[in-house]
Amino acid sequence: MFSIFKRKRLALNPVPLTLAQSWWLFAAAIAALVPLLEHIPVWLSATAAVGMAWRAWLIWRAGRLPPRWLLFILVAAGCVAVAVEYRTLFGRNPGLALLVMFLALKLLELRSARDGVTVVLLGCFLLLASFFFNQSIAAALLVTVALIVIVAALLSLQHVSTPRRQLQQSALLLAQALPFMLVLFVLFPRVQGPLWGLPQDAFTASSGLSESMSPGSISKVAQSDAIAFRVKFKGQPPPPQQQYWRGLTLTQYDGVSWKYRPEPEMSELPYEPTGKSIDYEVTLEPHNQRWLFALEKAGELPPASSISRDGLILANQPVRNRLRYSMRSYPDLATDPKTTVRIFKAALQLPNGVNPRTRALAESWRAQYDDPEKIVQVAIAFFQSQFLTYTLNPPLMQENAVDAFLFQHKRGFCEHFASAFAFAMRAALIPARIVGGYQGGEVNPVDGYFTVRQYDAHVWVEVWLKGRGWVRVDPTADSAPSRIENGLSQAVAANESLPLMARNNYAWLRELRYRWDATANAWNQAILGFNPERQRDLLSKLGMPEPDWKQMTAWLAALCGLLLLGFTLFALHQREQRDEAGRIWQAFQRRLARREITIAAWMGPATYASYAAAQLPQHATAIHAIAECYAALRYAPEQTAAHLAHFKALVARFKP
Amino acid sequence: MNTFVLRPGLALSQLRQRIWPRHPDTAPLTLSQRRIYVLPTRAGLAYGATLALMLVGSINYNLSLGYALTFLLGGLGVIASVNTFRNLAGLQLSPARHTPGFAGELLHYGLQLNTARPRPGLRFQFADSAQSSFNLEESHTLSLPLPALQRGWQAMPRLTISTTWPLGLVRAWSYARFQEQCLVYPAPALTAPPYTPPEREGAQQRSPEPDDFFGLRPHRNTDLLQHVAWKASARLDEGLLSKQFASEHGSAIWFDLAHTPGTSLEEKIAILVRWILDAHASKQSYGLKLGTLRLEPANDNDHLHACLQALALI
Repeated sequence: MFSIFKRKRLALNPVPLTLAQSWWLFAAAIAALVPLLEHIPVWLSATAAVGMAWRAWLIWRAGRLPPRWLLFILVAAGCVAVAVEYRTLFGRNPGLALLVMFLALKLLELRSARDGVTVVLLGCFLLLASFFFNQSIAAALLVTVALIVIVAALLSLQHVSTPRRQLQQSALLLAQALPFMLVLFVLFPRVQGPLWGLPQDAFTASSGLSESMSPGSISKVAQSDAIAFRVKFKGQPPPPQQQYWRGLTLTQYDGVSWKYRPEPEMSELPYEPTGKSIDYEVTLEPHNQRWLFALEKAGELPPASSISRDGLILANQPVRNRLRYSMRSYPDLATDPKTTVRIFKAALQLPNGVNPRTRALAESWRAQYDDPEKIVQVAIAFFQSQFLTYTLNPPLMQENAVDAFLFQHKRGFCEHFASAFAFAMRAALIPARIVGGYQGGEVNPVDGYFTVRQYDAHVWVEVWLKGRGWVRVDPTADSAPSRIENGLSQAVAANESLPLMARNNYAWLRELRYRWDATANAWNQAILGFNPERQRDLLSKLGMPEPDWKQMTAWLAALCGLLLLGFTLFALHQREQRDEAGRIWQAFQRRLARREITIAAWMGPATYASYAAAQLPQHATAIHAIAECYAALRYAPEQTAAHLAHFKALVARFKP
Repeated sequence: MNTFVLRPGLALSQLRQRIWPRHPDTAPLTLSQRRIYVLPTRAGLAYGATLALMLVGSINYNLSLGYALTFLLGGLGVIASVNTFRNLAGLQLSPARHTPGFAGELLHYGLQLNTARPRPGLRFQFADSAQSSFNLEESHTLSLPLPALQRGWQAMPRLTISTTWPLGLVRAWSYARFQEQCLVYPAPALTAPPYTPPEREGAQQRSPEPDDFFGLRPHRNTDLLQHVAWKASARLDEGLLSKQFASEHGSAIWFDLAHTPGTSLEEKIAILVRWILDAHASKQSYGLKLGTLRLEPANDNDHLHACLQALALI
């Protein structure tokens, strides 16, 4: 057994790589690493770069590869570095870091074609890994280019031609593989992942709202024009006053920041929805949190989600992939979901000793009026009377932030407004909580999707009024109504820095951006969002009744088989087509064969002619003429159609 | 005897005949899909394993583009197989002129390859010997080396034509069994006793004087006029003849198997080959006597090969 193995190893003996092959593999390694560069630690990129530069220098100088023991030490050092960086060697990111390091070091022990194959396979895997971080159109294009280089490197291990030709061939092979990819993509029975628990580090924090709100946190989010979610309304979008996308509630207040407090969850709606409904479908960008955004008063729950006591819609798992869900809301519904004592208490909790002026004011309202609703109105009136300015760049207010905002600086963003209002309500013994989410959004005229961006992030207040339940109060809207009517750009002063899409000038740029967003959305919906559910829908539309995995597999096998058959037939169809001269020469031979004069494979035209002429002396001249003509056609540097015609005529006249 | 008997062995033997036919192939042999076999290589298996891993990763992390990449690479593997197959399909092989070699050295089988398109990365391998690679650009005659074993005719072993082009993931191969043979000349002795003219009676014993008349041959332009055998030329009516003298041949020597030192036939043959090669190299005329076979003295390549062939086939 051992000897057989050894012999096999010998048979595949490592043929040393040529210079061109080494360069190709080097290029393949670079191509595999480029899409990952911005997602791996800087020190790792630097190490890989040094390793590759070392290799490039070795190729350049035809130097000797470093000894194995040195590589072993480098691998060990790399493992330690990765373990220190990530505190573990297991998990997605450390594993990826290790692969990157292995690839860089593998280049330093590139000896045979086998090592070359290893580099190529590692490269393919790393290309896949780059999709962990980015699956945009640009990323797909980048990976396609990288793949062409990597396949060209694999080609070079078999046969080296010019770089241009090599890349062409690689692209051609990949183009031939495309039909298989399409068939497999549509028909391969999809399974909803994950297959097992994902490592903890699988998803790093995404932009968007977080579980706590301190002064400045929302205005930071509002600097971004990244898309939070897209909505497709079944009819007209509701008016801006109803475009409040609820996300989470912030109940716990410690004097500085407001925090989210989980409440018990129910799998069914605690109320009976009635009245006019708004139907829509939300495509939520992953934000690594459980809350799903919806208009107020949800009328149904998406699958794998529940509703909490404070009316939040929560997915069972944090949203780590783009998620699509249908929703229905009843904006006019007056509900009073049973508020528990626990929620009541939480909505009244206030730390002692902060914001004494506001507290005193609120307590005076409480003493003055009995009716909570009246107090709310008084408070709104007070906010309006203070001439508060809505700005993206509020001054820093740390201690007694509410007092500072209301009485001193009078400049703030929505979090300051909401925080101050909720504080005042609680001080006046009215249950109040802050709601975080988004307000507004805009219709993309290209594809009709309603787009909500990070700069639409907003917080407002809900107060509990007896008989009416939780009622929304938006102190920002009351002080700067244009924020709600016309969006951020109208509400803030012209000289403040706004995200590009939030500005109203540069119409052509917006137009371009709309188109790009629509394309990206189509990409997200059709390709990235192609999940088991979508697959079933698509196949049903294509005429497959109730598609299941058996049908899909059968169709998959049939179509792939057909494709394979097609390609094979094409390969066989391109028969050996001997040239015209060769065909005529064969006709000549057949004529002589009838006179029992056959050609041996090794005979050239001249040898054959002398042989045939010796057998048929009476035709010697004709035979020699034909042979000379054929030899000229075969071996002369220039050939013309006239030559060929002459040759044809000679053979036609020849009748032995 | 007319009863049909079910013979399970028959189907098996037919199958074996299909796969390893006993009868030789006739030239020209065109590699058709029926004779081309395709199987993944080790690199191909590793590629498959990598794709399986990538698929699991894509499922686990719900990577739509991961699926796409995996499927594209899967399609690439299939396309690579078709291309590998195509690299052999339609190739036409026929035996060409073989080059004999000395036992213990290499002989070369000639192989004419006819193709309408370039076929890179073809590999040729005889049974167990080393394989040689070749990039076929157009129709071409190859000469494939093989160690020459024993003097005499050496049959062309089964030839394996294979390729892993373009990606090295699958190997396509086919066999050619041509009924061809190539001559193996006996190996020359490494050390041979110097040639000594045999003791003989009569005039032939005496080595010819330089000026002795040796024979006639066709006239060449460089021949001196006084060497033209005018009378003989007139009589024989075959154009001018020139007289040949012993000095022109050096001393024409006769190698005779019967008078060659050595204990065994093979040893004698080896010594004779050594003598012949030395004589050829020093441009001496030599003749060869093997029992009843006589090869008249001459010194050219044809004569050398004729002598070596005679010795090879004793």
